[in-house]
Amino acid sequence: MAREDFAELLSKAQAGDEEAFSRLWLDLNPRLVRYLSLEPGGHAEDLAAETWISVIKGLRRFRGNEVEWRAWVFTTARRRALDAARRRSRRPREVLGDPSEQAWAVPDRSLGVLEDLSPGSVVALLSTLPAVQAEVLALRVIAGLPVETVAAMVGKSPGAVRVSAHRGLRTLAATLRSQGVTQ
Amino acid sequence: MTDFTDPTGSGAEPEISDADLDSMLKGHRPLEGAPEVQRVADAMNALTSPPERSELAGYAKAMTAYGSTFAQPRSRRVAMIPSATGLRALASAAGAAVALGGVATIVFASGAMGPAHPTPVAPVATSATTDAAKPTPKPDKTGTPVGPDASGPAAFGLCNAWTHHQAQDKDKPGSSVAFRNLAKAAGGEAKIAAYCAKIPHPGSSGATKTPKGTSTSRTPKGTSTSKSKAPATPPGQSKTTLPTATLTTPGPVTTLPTNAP
Repeated sequence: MAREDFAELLSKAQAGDEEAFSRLWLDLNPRLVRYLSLEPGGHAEDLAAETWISVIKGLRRFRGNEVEWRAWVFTTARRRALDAARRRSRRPREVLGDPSEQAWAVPDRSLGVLEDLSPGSVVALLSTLPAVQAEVLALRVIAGLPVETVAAMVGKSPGAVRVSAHRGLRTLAATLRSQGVTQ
Repeated sequence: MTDFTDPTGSGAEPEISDADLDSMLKGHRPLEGAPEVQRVADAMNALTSPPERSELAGYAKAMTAYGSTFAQPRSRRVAMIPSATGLRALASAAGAAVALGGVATIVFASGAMGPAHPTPVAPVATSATTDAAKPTPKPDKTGTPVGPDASGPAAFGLCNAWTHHQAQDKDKPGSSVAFRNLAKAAGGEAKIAAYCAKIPHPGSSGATKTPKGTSTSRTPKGTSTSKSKAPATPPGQSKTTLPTATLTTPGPVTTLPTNAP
């Protein structure tokens, strides 16, 4: 995902160059949609669109390298997703356990089957994990963000992020083993 | 980093070394490992696979929002037309115009401005514009349009047009000669998005050809290589938290909402 010409593209996009912005959008939006697909409301594309509107508003004032750019965009996306989760939570319902664990992804164990290796199927498999593990894996892999950045985004220590990622991977492997994966 | 034991004590999770786990996070298959471990690595790799059509559907909306936010004052806009988007993107797409059909119509709808603004005498500094000045490929002797060469300088314009097509009419397959050429160059229709993602901007440092007469200096690389900075506060959150001159660590960026009824 890394671009040698990122600084140039960003600079042009901040100056109003539509082509430069379209490049930035094409680079990131597919991954943004995949990340936002973890939000169980089923509105990943709408949330991505909302995210870009916010990003565009603040684009001129953004300063940073490509990793920081991704972190900024995904942080914005995360806010949109959490807003969506908050809207859903206003519906009366019984909440059990730690609400912060349920605000993001709602695990659906019935989806723990990896039918194919399409991004949608893998995101569906991720959504079977506990929310924190799913999101940490998504931010590490889909957004390509370093541990420290992910830690700041989800409000946990870098060590806790590493543990969550590793436990998530192991859980996925265990899930697939239970399905009798042979290849 | 220490290895992690299964706190549940169930032993249900397979043993995977930390090195392999880190490798899997990067989508790499461990050198050795059970089939399910390899499968997880493949799954992580799939998360970074090339875009699918549905993931490009928001293009038009995003560009509209960008255009409305970054609209230039009229005098400035007129002055920029010949040098920026007008002659670069549209001219690079010119090679694709003949065979593109409906999509090209969309792309070139804004190209109607073209004749009102004289083309620069000296081709400006991009391989795309230089190429666009060449005659458009003619139909072959059988009368069948050959379309532009999607593996050449027209690729950027074709990709632009294709992206518009995805955004505007994604359910209708692009059947034009140009799109077939693009699919052929990409190695298949399903690979167009990935192929286009690699096509450098004609004016960027990643352009495949270094045009003559380019005298502009490149933007210095390496504005920062820091990997551990926390993200800036998202835009639009509040006036005081919009990104400022430098990104700083804001601590936890968000607080998860409660599910209070």
